Amino acid sequence: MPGLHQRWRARTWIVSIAVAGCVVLATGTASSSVTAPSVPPHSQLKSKVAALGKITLTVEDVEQQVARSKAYDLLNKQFEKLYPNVKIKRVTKGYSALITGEKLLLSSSHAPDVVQINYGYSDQGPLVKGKLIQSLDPYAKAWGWYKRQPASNLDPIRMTPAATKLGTSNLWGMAGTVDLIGIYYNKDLLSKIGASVPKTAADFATVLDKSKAAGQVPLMIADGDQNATLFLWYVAMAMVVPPANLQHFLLGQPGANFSLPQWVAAAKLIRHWAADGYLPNGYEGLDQGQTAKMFGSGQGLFRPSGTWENGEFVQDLGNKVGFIVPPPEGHAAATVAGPGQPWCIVTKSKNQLAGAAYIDFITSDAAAKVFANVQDLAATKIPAPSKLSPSAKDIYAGYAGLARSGTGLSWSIGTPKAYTYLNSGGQEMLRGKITAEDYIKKLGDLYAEDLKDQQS
Amino acid sequence: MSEHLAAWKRTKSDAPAVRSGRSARVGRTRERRRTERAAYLFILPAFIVYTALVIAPLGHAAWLSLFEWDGVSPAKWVGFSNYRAIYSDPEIRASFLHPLTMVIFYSFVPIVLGLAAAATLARVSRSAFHIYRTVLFLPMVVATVSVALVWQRFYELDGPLNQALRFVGLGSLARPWLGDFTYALPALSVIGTWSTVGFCLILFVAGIQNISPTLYDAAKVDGAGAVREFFAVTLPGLRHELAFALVLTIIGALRTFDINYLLTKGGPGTATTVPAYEVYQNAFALSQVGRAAAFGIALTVLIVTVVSTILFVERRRR
Repeated sequence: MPGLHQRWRARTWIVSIAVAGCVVLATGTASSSVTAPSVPPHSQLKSKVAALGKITLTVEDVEQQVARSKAYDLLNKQFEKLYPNVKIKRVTKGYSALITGEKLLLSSSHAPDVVQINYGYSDQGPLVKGKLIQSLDPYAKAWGWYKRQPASNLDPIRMTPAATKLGTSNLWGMAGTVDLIGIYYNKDLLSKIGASVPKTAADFATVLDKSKAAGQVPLMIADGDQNATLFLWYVAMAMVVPPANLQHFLLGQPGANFSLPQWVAAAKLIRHWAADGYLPNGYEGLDQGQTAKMFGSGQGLFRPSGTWENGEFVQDLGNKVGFIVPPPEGHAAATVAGPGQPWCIVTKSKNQLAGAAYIDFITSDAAAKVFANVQDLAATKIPAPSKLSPSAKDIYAGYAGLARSGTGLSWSIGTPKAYTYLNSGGQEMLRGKITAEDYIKKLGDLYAEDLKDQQS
Repeated sequence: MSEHLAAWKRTKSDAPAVRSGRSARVGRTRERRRTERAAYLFILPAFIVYTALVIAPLGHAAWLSLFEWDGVSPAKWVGFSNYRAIYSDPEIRASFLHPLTMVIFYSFVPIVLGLAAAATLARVSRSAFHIYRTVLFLPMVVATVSVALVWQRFYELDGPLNQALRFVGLGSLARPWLGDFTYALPALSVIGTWSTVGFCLILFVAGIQNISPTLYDAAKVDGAGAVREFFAVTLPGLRHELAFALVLTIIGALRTFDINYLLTKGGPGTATTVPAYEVYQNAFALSQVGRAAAFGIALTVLIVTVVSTILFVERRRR
């Protein structure tokens, strides 16, 4: 019955095209309109939220790390005490699960009231452009949020409403913590080789050599999941490349000059560490979790990573772990010190004022103390709390130093193409598949392409 | 056949005694049409569900592939330019070529091993057969995440594979397999062999049981040994099962994602990227839904082409 089959085939296509058309129309409907919220004075916030009656505020986060998760549980309890009519419903998802499903989630009928997002063009951009999250500026202006945190913590979450420029214009989220990238070190192993904490890039190189000669693993990081590529990149670039140049690249703004020799020098440094035995044996097949455990168990002198791991290292190594900002070469110490995952108010939320109150609380001095108690780095500008582990003290001191010198670098995925290549091409460079020169050349080309994409 | 015969008999008996040949033909055609209409009515519910869940989303994806769209904001028409990346971007092109290596390990090797195991198991005792079958099929039922963790450990520098190599004096070959630019893709693909060989075995064992024992008896009478018997009786008798195994395992190889995502995330460099990984990466990491849809459609076309070719060849041989 070929004729019948053909007819059915034709009908199938008609039906599917019609259904597809309906789906397209359904997905293409305009998002809900956004009006500026009426923001009460901060002194009236408590009474205004109380006037909302009994409500449940759904907050969705990606804080699965034990220490941070504990801090948020405690903060939510404190918030409920402060606003007795508000019940917090906390939903925690894995980073990938939340980020990949966020666009669907925030446009659905069961969107949360407040949500953590990932900043940068790729993730934050569509949410801003699609009006799925609200600008926080009305609240920030009325309640003084701008003064709470340094610019390096706010700029990465700033974006124009059309999502064409990052690091400027409206503020879309506020983070409770700072993610500072630096280097943990094992004090016992350092004293075993008779070295002191390195202050400059040259000192660092000397200590690494001594550590290697003593049979230690100088840099405990692995690359099975591109982790070594990423963190060695951050550390080496922060050490060598002039901070202003690096800042332009990280935020995807014009001004990064890739013809400066420091870019290639930093790339060669990474290659040297990988090729000349400074990483653990078989680093190519190990991942971040495995090397974190190895460092926590006392193996490895240095651990390039971020402040989010401090709580776990303090648990494992106690007072034997310290932290340094990457020791610089020819400029003030600089490193990435950007916001943790920022909290945003969801446009579809019916409890936006309560959501704003939640962000107000998470970024308050009271919340900062809770983060500090779990050895995390709070985003709010308060003096370092006294009850800190030695490594947390190092972190707070490092952050204060960056604030003084203005070299805390904002970080965001401002250059999606270059960032993707930073990882994949970085692995090729790390293993000697391509030269440092070729790697930096292509990174610069993709950065230029990303800038061009922003214009279009 | 018997239904047609009954229908024909019914038509014959119901027909008036004197009837022209033309009117009898018209009656038969009407009857057939009625039967066909009823048949289509029966498949209608399944067809509606299939259209809503498969055909419509596929059509939607094809439509989206013609746009530049971030998943939220209004889309911009770009025609077929999303498809151009498949041949113009060397990294995307490579991701479409990597499955060719995977097909060897996901399809050809398991089929050969499955055939050998099935032919061997046909000759062992019943209890031993059950044990072997269970052991070989076990990888099919283990969760992928668990499989990934076990194989990650297996391939580490100090893992069992390298320990075994050192033990037999081949220490110079030891390496972190999943981090090696040359061997990462074959190493991942071997996991496919491990997990699909059991499926092939079960399929072939079932096929062998359908081969008439008289053929084996005849082969024995003719003095055929085990090898001759395999090539003269077993292999031709498994033609349909072979085609079926080939289709399913090749589809598995071409659309693979989970193992690559869990173990290497496409690395080192881009050595283990596959089309499905690029779909994920573009849709979720880069918010380029149109591009992701284009890669998905291209992958679908590739799979349909390969599968149609296999089925066409198999039908021609029949």
